[in-house]
Amino acid sequence: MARDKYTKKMPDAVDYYRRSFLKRLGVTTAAAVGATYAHGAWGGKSLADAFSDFFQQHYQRMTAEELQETLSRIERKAQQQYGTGITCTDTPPLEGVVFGYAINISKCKGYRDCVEACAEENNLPSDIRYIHVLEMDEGSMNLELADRYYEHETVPVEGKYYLPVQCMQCDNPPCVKACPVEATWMDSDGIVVVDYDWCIGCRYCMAACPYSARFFNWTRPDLPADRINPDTNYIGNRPRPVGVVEKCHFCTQRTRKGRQPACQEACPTGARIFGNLLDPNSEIRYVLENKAVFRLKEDLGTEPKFWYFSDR
Amino acid sequence: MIITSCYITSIKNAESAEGGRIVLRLLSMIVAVATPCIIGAGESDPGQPGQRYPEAPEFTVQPRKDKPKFDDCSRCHEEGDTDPEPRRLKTRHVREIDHGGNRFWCLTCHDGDNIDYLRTSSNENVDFDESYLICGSCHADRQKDWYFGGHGKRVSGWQDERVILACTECHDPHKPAVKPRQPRPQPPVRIGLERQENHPPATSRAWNR
Ligand code: HEC
Ligand code: HEC
Ligand code: HEC
Ligand code: HEC
Repeated sequence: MARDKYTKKMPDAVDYYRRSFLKRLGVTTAAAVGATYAHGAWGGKSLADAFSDFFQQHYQRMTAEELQETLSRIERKAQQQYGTGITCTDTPPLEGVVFGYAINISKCKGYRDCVEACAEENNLPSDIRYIHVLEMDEGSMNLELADRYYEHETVPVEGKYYLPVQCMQCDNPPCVKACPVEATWMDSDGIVVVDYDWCIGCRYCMAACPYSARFFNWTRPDLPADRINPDTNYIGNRPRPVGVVEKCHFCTQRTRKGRQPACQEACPTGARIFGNLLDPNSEIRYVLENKAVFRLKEDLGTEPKFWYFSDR
Repeated sequence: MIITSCYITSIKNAESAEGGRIVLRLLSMIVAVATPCIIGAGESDPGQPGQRYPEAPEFTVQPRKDKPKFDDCSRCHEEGDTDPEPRRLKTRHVREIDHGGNRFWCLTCHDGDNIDYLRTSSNENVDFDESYLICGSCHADRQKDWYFGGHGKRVSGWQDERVILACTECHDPHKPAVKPRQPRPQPPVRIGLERQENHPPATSRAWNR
């Protein structure tokens, strides 16, 4: 399969245990279901879909046909749950690309336009935001004293500066190591992604993340049909099952097609600089090579691909 | 080159110095002296303010001249009628300048002889769509960043042809400070959590916060 190109080898043992456990569970449940409910018991989706959901392979192991079937199943479910048609595509990483992000903290003014744009782009539930803009005291780098709930007539406020945080797409990601079922991994373009259907919701990854950048979804987004972003991909912003962990994925649905992430597009100050780290002519490379950049909690060795810099 | 960099330094000094006025006098003298030497300089002479950077990744600037406010300045301004006397204007268009501490007059940037154009400190005529050359004569650092993508904003995809915003898209040249603005709403508090008191005293123990 062409998909093997970027597929990371996964130990068979993990898969074996997870699957055999689920299979046994599946057989019991199937018997129970057959006996009790004729149809419609799965919130309206067909029993066949419900079963396919249940026995779905890990994203990296699906054959092209299985993947295609999974994508259309996701589309069918969205139609049924939200009453609107969406497209869900597979967006493998591009070759020769590793994404990086840099934020100019002397230009960020704390408007939170990025936060809103991200929520809309990624169809976020109402209590989750992938980006938090931290209000910090000038001259301080103490993240524990940061205020993410600031509310003012106008920003910036004198004596404060603003530090947007989101998933840092670490090159040495502790969350990936913490996942017991390998539902999260780093793709070849450096983006740490989640197979939401494989995630068992144990939240080990959240505990492992030093940046509090992962979120457990307790609820399904209660979005009206006209607020749903219909342009989705499997590994990014498609509808997620409830009870799994999600996070910023550098808008894979956009960036893997050459577009800018929604937060970059929304930022009116130009503080956000996104691009290909492997391209020596990219803007991100200019910043890394010419500005005094730093990363958060650098001493942990997580190697974020997310930098900050200031003009002054 | 030396003269122009000293021009910039004097601006910076004028900022902090008490005797800003005197420095300004000096400044205009320097400009007057400097101008003739600069005219001959090549367009891409490295180190020159208002310079172009041929080695910067290629770009196009999102045009601004199609906006109605640029309609035909010569409708009212005839050739030779420009009044070079610095004063407070009575027009309906730009009346005053809040840029660089009241030290500029319109003709610092506009070309008095041809009102449809701007003019750099090195006396180059530039189009309204090339205003970054004007800004660069005083803000060389920012301008360089802008050329290479460290300042300003790219409005095209990261892989597409590079389209970037003009300086004046974000900074009104007559009042360039970025104005404070209302932020978007606060983020929601996670289900099951309560919002903590902001800014606990730094002395409090971690477990008391
Ligand atoms: C509706 C008529 C009108 C238009 C159109 C107009 N101006 Fe003016 N402008 C004036 C008047 C009148 C004055 C003189 C005001 C005064 O002396 O108080 C003036 C003054 C100026 C001055 C100060 C120097 C001087 O000669 O007094 C500049 C510079 C200038 N205008 C630039 C422009 C530019 C650039 C445009 C096109 C984008 C433009 N104007 C379009 C009416 C106009
Ligand atoms: C710091 C340089 C600078 C100075 C000083 C300056 N201008 Fe401008 N002006 C510009 C630039 C650059 C533009 C193009 C703006 C854009 O792209 O929107 C412009 C545009 C204009 C326009 C047309 C668009 C608009 O914003 O209305 C008018 C009219 C104008 N200037 C008049 C004046 C007058 C009158 C003065 C003096 C009181 C003056 N300017 C001083 C740089 C300057
Ligand atoms: C003749 C020199 C000169 C030119 C030309 C010039 N500037 Fe300035 N600019 C200054 C000076 C001097 C200051 C004041 C510096 C300070 O306050 O630190 C300044 C300040 C600024 C500031 C900071 C304002 C603030 O209060 O935060 C911005 C933004 C700016 N200029 C943008 C521009 C842009 C955009 C252009 C081109 C349209 C431009 N400048 C052209 C000299 C110039
Ligand atoms: C996408 C919007 C955007 C564009 C385009 C842009 N700037 Fe800025 N610029 C900003 C913001 C935001 C700040 C921060 C303002 C503040 O600190 O109050 C800033 C700050 C500045 C400052 C003052 C602070 C400093 O860093 O020195 C200067 C001077 C400046 N810009 C010049 C320019 C010039 C010259 C250009 C074009 C070559 C340009 N800018 C293009 C958004 C922009």
